[in-house]
Amino acid sequence: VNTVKDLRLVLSDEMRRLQPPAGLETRVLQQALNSSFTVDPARRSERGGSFRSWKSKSVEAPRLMALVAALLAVAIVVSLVFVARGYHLLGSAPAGHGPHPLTPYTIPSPPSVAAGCSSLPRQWASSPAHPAKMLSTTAGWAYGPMRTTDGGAHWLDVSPPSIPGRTVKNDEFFLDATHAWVAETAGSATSCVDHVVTFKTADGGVTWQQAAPIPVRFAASTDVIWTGAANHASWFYFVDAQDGWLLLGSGPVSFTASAGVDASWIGAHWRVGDLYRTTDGGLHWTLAAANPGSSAGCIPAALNGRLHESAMSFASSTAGWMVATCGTGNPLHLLVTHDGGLTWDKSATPLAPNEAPLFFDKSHGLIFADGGLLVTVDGGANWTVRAKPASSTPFDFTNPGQGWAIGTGDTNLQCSPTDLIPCSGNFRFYHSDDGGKTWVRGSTTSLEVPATKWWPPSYLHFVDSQNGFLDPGDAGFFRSTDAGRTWKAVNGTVERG
Amino acid sequence: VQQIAVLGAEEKLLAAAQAGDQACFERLIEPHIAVGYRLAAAMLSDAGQAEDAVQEATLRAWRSIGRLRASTRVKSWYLTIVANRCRSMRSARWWSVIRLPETRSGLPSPADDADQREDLSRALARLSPDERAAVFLHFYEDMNSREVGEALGITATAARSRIHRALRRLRVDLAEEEL
Repeated sequence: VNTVKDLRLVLSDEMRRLQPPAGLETRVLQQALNSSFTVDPARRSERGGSFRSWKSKSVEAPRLMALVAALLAVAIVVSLVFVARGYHLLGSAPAGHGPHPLTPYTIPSPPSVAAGCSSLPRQWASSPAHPAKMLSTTAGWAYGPMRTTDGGAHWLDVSPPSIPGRTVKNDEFFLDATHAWVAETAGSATSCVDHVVTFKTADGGVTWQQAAPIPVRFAASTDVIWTGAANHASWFYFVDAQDGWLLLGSGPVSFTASAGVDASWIGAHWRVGDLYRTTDGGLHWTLAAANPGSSAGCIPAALNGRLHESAMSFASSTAGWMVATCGTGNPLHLLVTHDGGLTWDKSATPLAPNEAPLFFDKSHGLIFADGGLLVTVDGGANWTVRAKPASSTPFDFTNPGQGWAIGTGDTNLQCSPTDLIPCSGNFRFYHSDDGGKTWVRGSTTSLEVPATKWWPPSYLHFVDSQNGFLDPGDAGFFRSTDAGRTWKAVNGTVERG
Repeated sequence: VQQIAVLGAEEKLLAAAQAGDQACFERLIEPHIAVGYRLAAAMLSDAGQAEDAVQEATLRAWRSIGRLRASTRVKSWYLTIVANRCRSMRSARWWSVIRLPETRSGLPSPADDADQREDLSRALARLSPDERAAVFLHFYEDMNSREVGEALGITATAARSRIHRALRRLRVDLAEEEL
């Protein structure tokens, strides 16, 4: 029988043997930031030596055979996939409509961007998925994009091909189980970032159609492009498979690490915000409005990590809303359009909105505000304030009547600093059947969470009266099949599509 | 207060890195590369592969920094990517063999102690990579089960179970106060 002290000694010995080589941090960071996929020849040589130092000869033959077998298998699978995808594309692409054909999933190297700029080719998802839009008990999307058909137990990375000069700024919108869009910012040989490319799928990511690039106008050469803010606070919206909008913001990133970060810092520094419109499902985009809201002294606001994470929404092909900063920037305001985004005016609301409205049809919509719930039954002409349960944070409504809210329960969610004791606590669930006029207080529900920092949840959605999904925002998420009385952790796995 | 200040600085660095500031990304990630390497070494038992894993994980971290939520601890997030990368590399090694540690020499300990540690070392090598990672993070990096869970993409309870399971296999007698 060993002791912990023995174990620590053994681990120390092991780590001395495997200690990081000198200059590891510098080398690793340089390689990563140069986005180079070629291995430094010197390091490759070192590594080869390392392999040789422990690999026995008997391992060589099976390894070689395994390698050959793997290559053959991959070649066969790749051939089949390309044949299948090519056939599908030929059948689905509108004749003469101009969508670019799918390019093979390749990572451009070297990146075709101007000197001094960095390119960030699309990468397969490597971490557990968090639901971004669950559509039923089984089907849903996660950012990546990833798709699940079994309630989140397994996710498939179905991301579109990487485009040359791609940067980290991108946005994704999920309409239903099969329709999704991705907007990517990209640079060129003369600029770090100067255009946006959108992709569309109508079959759950099996195939993607690429639209012609949208050039972005800049007020200054140092501007960056945004298609939304951090954490997917989206400016990408579709009301159906054809009608959509994409707002492209551009401006300087003027803060530094020491200057502090304002929640609305992105909007506060914009110089350009161009709204584009599509009526063919994102294959072609036309400029609908330059700097929407500017006539009212407002600029679109980027929101950061709100529950529904949308800074712009539409109820129909003509009526839409956008959260904006006007004047000093606080509080936030709502802009409204009645002509599909061509013109925008300020819309008065009794409470400052936190995010764009959630509309269930042309008439019924909700806004989740800090001070309560704003409800409209006349397409946003009038907004009524409804109280929200005390200490509650996330809301969700599956229709204009039925909603849920979560508040802290009797026991705060806390973790012991020495921990190995599971952190736990409880929360209280509230339910409304009358559009938030009254809230029925449920019993407290235990939820084991690894850390308080996961509270409040970043995602709460019920796909029907019984089945809900709750994402604390870090590793894994929770699912309820009994109207929120109990929650079970779902630790999904990710695979390549 | 100091910890709050540090946390605040990390959030600012993160926001800047998400905006494309490479220097801020470097400042954010650099402190965690060595522990990432050690985690990879523990999981893969090979120095060359560990460096490859960390290299690729850092590249992935840079590409996906835009999706990192402000509330997420960078260290846990980065180690998660390293661990995932190691799992991918392990699964790609069809010819994988268990590499047992070389016999150590020169340690001024009694022969029976050395034999005992040798056995323990071999038992450690026979653990699954994920068990080895949990043991390493907890007993070498002194991370608590919540942090171990975050890094390995599991709950704190699951991390605790994994550590206990590994200790049983290692025949390590665990006094409660040692947790």
